[in-house]
Amino acid sequence: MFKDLDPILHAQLRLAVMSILMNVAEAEFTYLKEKTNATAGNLSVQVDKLKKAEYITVNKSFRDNYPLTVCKVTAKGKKAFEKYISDLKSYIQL
Amino acid sequence: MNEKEALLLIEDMISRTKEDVKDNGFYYMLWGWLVFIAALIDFTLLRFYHNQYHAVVWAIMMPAGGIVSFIAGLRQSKAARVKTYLDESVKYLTVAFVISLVIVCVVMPMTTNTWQSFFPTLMVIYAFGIYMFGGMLRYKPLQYGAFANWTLAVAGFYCTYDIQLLLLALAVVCGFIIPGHLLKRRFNLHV
Repeated sequence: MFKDLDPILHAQLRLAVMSILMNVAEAEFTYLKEKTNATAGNLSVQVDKLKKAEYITVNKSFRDNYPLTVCKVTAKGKKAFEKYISDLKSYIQL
Repeated sequence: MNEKEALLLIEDMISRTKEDVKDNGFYYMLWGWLVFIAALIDFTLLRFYHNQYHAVVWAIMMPAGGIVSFIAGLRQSKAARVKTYLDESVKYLTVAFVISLVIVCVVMPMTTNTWQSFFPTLMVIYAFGIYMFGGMLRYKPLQYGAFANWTLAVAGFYCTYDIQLLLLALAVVCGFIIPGHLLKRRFNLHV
């Protein structure tokens, strides 16, 4: 029986962001941009969607007068990612 | 994006965030050389000049090292764009290591009349810290240095103050200076 894949995670850039954040304690927006090769605008939209789904927290502040955005995965996000992986595995094994 | 592509993407992102070699050995070299020089100055003043203020060198060089480390730490944390789980573990161990060292260095001289145990105790704490750092960084030279420090600490408990200074100098060469320079070389090779 196929399980429905989480539509929030089953999108290339959002999945890339979540994969990175699952692997680190927290990451700055610029780091995510560099690792995913995404444009700032597109990344910003996808980060916002993950934030609205409560999969990540986004902390905005300033450092040396420049805006600083730090993203961190939440417990809900971790659980959703783990379920997504498990659902993916069941697809591939069948 | 199909399921296989999704798995490949996850794999790719994980490999891109693998722990980079971040430690350039700066703190090991800084403290290694500071303690090495201070120990030899202390030894020279005590052994050859019988100077009663032989230990003043520690009161000058150690706070100077603390200030340099503090400034370097601030700069480093500002430059970091990602914080890994390893970074967090290293931070906790660094805090524990520094608090233990400060307690021994500040409280011990004020409460005991003898200096017999001071430097060997320092070497035990050094060994504990660098063994743990070596394990976290998966870096064997630090762990070999830790064993050298433990051995020299045991020997130090049976020696006089001036000989302990030489043992301490040897301990920081094995535990800080050599691993620090090797870390720097490893870091430069990966940059």
